[in-house]
Amino acid sequence: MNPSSLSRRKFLKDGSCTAMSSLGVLSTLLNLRMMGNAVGNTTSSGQSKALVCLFLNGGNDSYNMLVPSGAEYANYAAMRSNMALGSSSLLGLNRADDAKTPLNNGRDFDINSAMPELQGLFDSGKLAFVSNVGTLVEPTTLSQYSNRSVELPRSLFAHNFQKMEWQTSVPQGGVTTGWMGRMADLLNSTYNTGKVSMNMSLAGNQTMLLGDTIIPYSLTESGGVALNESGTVAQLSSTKSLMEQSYKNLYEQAFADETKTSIELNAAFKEAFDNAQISTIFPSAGGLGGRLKAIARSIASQSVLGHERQTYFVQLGGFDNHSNLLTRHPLLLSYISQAVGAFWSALQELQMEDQVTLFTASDFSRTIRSNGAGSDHAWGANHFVMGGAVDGQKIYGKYPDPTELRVASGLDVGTNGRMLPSISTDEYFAEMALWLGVSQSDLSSVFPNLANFWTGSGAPVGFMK
Amino acid sequence: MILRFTLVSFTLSAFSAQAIDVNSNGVDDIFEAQYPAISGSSSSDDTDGDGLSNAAEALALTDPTDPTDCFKCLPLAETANAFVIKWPSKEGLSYQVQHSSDGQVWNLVGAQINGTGAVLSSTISKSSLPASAGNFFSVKVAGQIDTDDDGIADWAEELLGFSSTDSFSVRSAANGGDTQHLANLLTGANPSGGLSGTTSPGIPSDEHASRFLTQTTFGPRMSDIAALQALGANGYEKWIDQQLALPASYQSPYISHIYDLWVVDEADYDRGDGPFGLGVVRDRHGYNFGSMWLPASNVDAIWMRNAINGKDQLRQRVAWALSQIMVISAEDTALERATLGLAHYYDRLIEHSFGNFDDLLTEVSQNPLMGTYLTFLNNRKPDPASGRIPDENYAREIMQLFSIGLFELNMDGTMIHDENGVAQESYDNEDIKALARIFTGYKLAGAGFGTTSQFRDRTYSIQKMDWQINEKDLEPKSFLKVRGMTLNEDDASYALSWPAKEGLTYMPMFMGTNGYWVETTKVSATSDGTLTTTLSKLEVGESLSIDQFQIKHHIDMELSQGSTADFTFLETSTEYHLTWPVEAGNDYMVRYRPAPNQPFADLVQVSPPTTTTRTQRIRKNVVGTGLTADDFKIVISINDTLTQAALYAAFQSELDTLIRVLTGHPNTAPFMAKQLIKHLVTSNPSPEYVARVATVFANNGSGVSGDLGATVKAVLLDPEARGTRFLIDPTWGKLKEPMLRVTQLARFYDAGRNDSYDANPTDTNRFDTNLQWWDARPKDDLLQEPFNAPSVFNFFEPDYSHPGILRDAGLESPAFQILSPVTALTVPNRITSYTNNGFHTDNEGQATPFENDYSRDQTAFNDPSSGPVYVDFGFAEDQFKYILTLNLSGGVDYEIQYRPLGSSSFQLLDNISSGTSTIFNEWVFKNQVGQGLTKDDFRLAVASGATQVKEEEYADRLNLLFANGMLNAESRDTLTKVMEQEFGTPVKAAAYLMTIAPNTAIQK
Repeated sequence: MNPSSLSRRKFLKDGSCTAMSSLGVLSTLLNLRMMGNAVGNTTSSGQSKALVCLFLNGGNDSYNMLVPSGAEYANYAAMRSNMALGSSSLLGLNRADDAKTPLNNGRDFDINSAMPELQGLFDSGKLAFVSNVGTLVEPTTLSQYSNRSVELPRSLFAHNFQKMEWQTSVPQGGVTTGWMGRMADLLNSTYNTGKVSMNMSLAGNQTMLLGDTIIPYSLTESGGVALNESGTVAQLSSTKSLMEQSYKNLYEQAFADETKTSIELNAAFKEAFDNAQISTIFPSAGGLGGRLKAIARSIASQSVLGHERQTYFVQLGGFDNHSNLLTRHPLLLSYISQAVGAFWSALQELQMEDQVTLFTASDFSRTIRSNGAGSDHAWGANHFVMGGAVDGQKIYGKYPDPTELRVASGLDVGTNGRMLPSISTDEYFAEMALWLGVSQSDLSSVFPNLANFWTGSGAPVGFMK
Repeated sequence: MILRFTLVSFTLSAFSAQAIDVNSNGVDDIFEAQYPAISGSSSSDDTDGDGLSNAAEALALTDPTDPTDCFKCLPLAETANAFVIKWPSKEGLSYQVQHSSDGQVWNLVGAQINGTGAVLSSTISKSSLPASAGNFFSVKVAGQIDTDDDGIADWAEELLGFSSTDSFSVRSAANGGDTQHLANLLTGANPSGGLSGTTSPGIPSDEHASRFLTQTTFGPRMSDIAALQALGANGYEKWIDQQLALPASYQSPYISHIYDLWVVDEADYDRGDGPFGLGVVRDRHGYNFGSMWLPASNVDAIWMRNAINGKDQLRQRVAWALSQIMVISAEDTALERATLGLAHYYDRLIEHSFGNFDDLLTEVSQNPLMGTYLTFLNNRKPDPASGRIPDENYAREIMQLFSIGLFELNMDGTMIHDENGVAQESYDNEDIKALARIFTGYKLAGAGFGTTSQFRDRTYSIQKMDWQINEKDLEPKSFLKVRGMTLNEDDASYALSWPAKEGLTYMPMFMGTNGYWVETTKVSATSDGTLTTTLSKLEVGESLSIDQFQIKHHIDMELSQGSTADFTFLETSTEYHLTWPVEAGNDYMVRYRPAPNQPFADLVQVSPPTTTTRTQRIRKNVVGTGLTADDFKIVISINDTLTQAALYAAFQSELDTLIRVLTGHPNTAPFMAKQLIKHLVTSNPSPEYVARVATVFANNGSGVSGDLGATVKAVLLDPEARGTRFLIDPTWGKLKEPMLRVTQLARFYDAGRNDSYDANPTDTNRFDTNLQWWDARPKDDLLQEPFNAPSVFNFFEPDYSHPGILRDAGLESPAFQILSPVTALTVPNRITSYTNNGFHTDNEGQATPFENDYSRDQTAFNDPSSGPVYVDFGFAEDQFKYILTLNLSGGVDYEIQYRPLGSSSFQLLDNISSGTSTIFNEWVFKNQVGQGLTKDDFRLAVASGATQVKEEEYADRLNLLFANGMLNAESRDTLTKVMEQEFGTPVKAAAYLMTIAPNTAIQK
């Protein structure tokens, strides 16, 4: 029995015991996987690319990141009451509406004033917003939600589950791999000749990057790490011998595997990374700048690493602002804006503006309704995508209008202003998967629910050029 | 011709092993460990019913639980000149064919053949057989192969991780070798401390004592092992009972003491050179804390002190587990300065570790740091006018993480699935909203509502939160569905029945036509048992199914408009008269209902100017006729000053009721049982193990639920925790958390030996020579540090499953969540740094290193029982000579030895000694000893009578303490090799391995 058939059986078993009703979808996924796994309908274009997921840990209050203005401001202010931002806390966006954004055209939006760098990137066409994205199994209306007449994501509003579902993009559960991992399963053999995984994390183990065959690599702000032994030959060889033994106990074996792989990969990565220098200055506040700088250096190392495709997972924490929202949230947004601004400069320095795309993800957005000092766990969220390949200066999807951005009515699935998403994570991610090189015919093996949302004609959302 | 093929017998021969059978049941103990289903069975039992007894299957190494795996010959083949006998073989066995002419008398024929795992065949030429009337053949197991002749068969050594070619592979000859080791692994393998496969009481071996102490302490010491064994038979339980009775080591007194000693430096204050121009805090020795508050890392210091030196090890271990379930964290900037508050919170976990879970959860739910961390401090009641709702953070996490979990569970911890295989969520968003309303009105004790604190000093840090009456939601709440409701119906009504508990109130609900749940009439239980309520079909509608009913728990403080006043009731033909005593300053609202099933409505407010008796007359043409006293209610509106105590009592009672509902929920016992097992014993307990512990959590035997002391005892004394499953089962065990990998080393090296804190609690100088700041930010490398979880979801989640072989095998592996390609190296690096430098932060030279003691183990290493001691030295060379830098102790004779190129043995080069300790450069000229030598070709031996315990014996100790004797042969071999090569620093070399060897990182 080969290892991959073992994991497929496990995969099926998971599906059957936890989510019977989704078994059909998962079986399809498996069948497609088996076909796609070996082949991967992709060919190298010779141009390297990287996709960066910036995860806003804790649930970003995205309706205070991208804010309705003009005629719609009054409704926003009324609904958010004491959590509403005043006009002095907002910056205007210079939009280039077109046929791709019909539902937001002619409406006014501002960005949180903590994000001037993002404003600049937006206005210069390098950044787009995508509105009201969330975990969905299939298209869902309010009455379908209330009646439970469609399959809903598991454990809505709970941090750990929603975080997991954004990472798997299979919100009915039963899947242990992440969408970037499954994507890399398809792309790896075509685009990666190196030893180090093409999926890399600056936040330790993350499901999003884990595939059936792809095991992600982790790095730190300073790149690879090394075992800091007292340096004797005896110790080094002993370590090696300890890790190369086979252990009957599965935990011991897993520990040995992990350590052995780590030593090898870090040595390979360190060599490439340490030679890649970036002169762009990154901000230190909040720590995100240092992590994005490490990503820029790692991207700069692509050819040495043997990577033509890379995906990254990086996160910024602190978004679970049940209280102190109005003081903490702008600070976090400023960290994002400054760091992403510097990241763009670094891409310019590397002359790789069109080859790298960065997008945000988060557990969920937060309630429109105030709890007095902050906001609580909700659902549909606004996100941004940045890069030279992004058709920017636009707001995609449909930002909830004043009849929708309501509490206890409109798109609220309850009474506290939890927006029913109008774009699924599948559509949002599939757009970028296509850009990275997944063929349209392979998409369903990465996103088993995608066919529920997208017929295959046109772009899933439209924000990539 | 009649052929018969049977297993005849097991015979002992020179090369075969005797079965290990310490429980004397006639079945090999390793075989029993391999097949737990037959553990303790008698030799004649035939568990799988295949005709071979378990004892026989143990000899034939066939699966005693699988009737198809059976020792039988295949059909006989015959050629012109020979018979061919075939049979399926097992590795590790030796077989021989027997022949009989009459089926009575058997003779061995042919040669012995070793099993391969495949079908073997033996060709017996006819000419070799006696001419006779019949040819009967059988195959016998001639023996189990024992290559190294240590009494343990090769197959068993393979299973156990011993070497089959070395009888001293996991234990030194001086300590009895592998044979003794195996005996030890079977001695203490039952909850009574006795032999494996029995229930007899006994005294556990070193290995089992160490294994138990690994589950119950921050790392076993030799003295702990001896102390446990000294308790005699049933030592495990006696040890636990001792621990349950020990006084707790708390953290707050230590932190308070530092506060008592500190002074604000007025000069600094005047100079404004503190971090915010505010002056700084110095301790009384002048050390500048660099801040206006005591850094939270001081709590790490007392945590470490208690972990290393606390006598109440089990309590501290359980508190450590609880702190990873009910998480607060100084990672949150709101708590990063809450030094005393953090200690006080942790002390509550320590205090209740063996207490009642209800008390613990209540304490946690009223703690000001928890209120701050999960943001229900200053949480306001709903305000319909502005649309403000209460914060839902704590409402969600107290259910998801602290009590019942997300999904409905069976008693054995497995999820309940519906008929479609879908897991059932244990609460919904309506429950969250109801609980959020319960957690309103909390404020810092004695502070105004809305006051927050960074808890920089002692103010607010240790008092329970109390309430702001006008911000507390007073309305009734229905929440959390009761499991086990049944429905019976007749033509007119539905009867709902459910298991109820004395003193709790329930709200039967049905699904209205608009798709929302409709409440009916609350019912209170006056005793434990089944409650039934009947709902008329006229009222709730026809043809509802059971899914359209639910029973929720209900709390009504009956304070929604204040408390009620008793009144006398009189009726005239046109009026009702209500008479009651009134008090000046209070408002009284007279309420009525037009019919029994209608809600009460306000009628008239009375605000008396004087204290007197009042009669309110109510006209029947206003409210209707036919009303009784039950249809009226007089509500005293709330007056904060007059009724605060009563209100606080009602609020406390509301919280207590909620906690009782949560802890009594059928999920909580298995949820908590499984978490405690995972923290203390193993990551994948069997459902049966979980169920046994959950049963004790639900009822400690005296009708009390949530008895954590009894639960912990059940976790540790379970047959699964104490039995032999760990020996064989590859799915048994857990990764030790980084902090435990650190503390086991600290305890081994006796890092806290000079800590006078514990010894002299009243000595005000006790901090002078000890650490005040533990190592800075261990979380950077370890991803774990007390009080520093990244979120309420802890450092790792209990059901995390690591991709690769663990996930493929369906195993959960919590601590693996923080084992990444980064931490796989940074954790050993940090531990190596502790090994080399001790546990300390050397702040401006003020804090004395909390260092390791190598001398003790060096002494052990220098035991004069055998062999020379080798001492480390510096080494350099130039064109002409090698330079050995010798660090010589005074009065000791040394031998410098070298190994010529190409030789395998060392020879004497020179003798050297010095009257006083000195460092001396010895030049060794290359023309004397030859070119091309390395440091490894020299050694410095202590010649004056000092000899050493062999590395092998030292390895026994390390194996015992860090791997509970479970180091496999290869790892042990590596360990001893390193010690041989690390002359002079065997302890550190070994410790290095301990930081990284898989056998020591995994707890089995």
